Amino acid sequence: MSVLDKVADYFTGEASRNRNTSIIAGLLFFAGWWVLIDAMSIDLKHQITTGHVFIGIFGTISFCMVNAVKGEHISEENSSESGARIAKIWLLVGFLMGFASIIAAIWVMIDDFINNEKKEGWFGVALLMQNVFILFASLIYKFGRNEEEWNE
Amino acid sequence: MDVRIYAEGTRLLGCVAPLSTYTVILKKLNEPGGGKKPEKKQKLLFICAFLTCIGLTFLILACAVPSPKIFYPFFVLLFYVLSVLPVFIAKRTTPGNETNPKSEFALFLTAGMVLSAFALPIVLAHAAVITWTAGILTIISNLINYGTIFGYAMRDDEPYGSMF
Repeated sequence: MSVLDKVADYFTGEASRNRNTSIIAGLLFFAGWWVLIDAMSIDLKHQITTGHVFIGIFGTISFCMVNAVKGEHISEENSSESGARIAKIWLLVGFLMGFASIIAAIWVMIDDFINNEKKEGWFGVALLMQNVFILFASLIYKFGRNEEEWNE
Repeated sequence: MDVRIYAEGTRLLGCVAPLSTYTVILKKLNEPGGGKKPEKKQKLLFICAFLTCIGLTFLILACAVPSPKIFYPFFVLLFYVLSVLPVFIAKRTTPGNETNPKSEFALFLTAGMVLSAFALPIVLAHAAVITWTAGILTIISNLINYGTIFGYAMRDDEPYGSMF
């Protein structure tokens, strides 16, 4: 059937690398947030606090910052030098926030959920999984797409 | 208990199926004579309508089968609507088949909404708001409905489908 051929061509053609990358990044990002929603919905004793959710929000802000900078903003052909410098600083802060959210999630998991007898360990693992998924989604979305295919 | 559930399910199916075939026949009558292969188009529309009807029947069954009648599985309908919207908007503003950041972000959101439609029944069943039977029925309904939407978008009368 030609619909199946078109589907196969949609995912494996030449112009489909950006599409596949966007789809995989979308699945990972939303999977991270749904893992947190699932953990908080079975958490009857409010062991996951608002501060724990902020780690995921930092990861999301890092996603937006990292992907707002296009390759042409920091390339050598950019005419305004201060613009390129600001774009590099923005990218740096974005990556710092992303990796800081991972470090914070590991710290919270070990210190607050595993070494603490009053809280269950699974919620810390869910927090870590959420932030790892969000970071992987932002990295895949940033580095998996080929920017030369954009003819704007 | 089981006989009553099957009776209720088939009663619902019997109400929804004639509606969808009626709309397909209406479309067939209103179509102009031009266009390529009207029988093929009618067959495609009929298959799409029938599969959508089956998918929505599974969704109604997911709400009707367990003994307390809980309507929370209907929220996946919101995710169906939200999943089609970004690509539709992106296709309207930048026509053509080349990729650009807007259409890639639209695909990102679409993949996220599809995952959310599958994740919502799992989270609801895990939190014991609905039973696992209802969750599995909702997931089957999602599979059928998203398969129909994707198959319709990939139909072969326009290159690369008019939606993606």
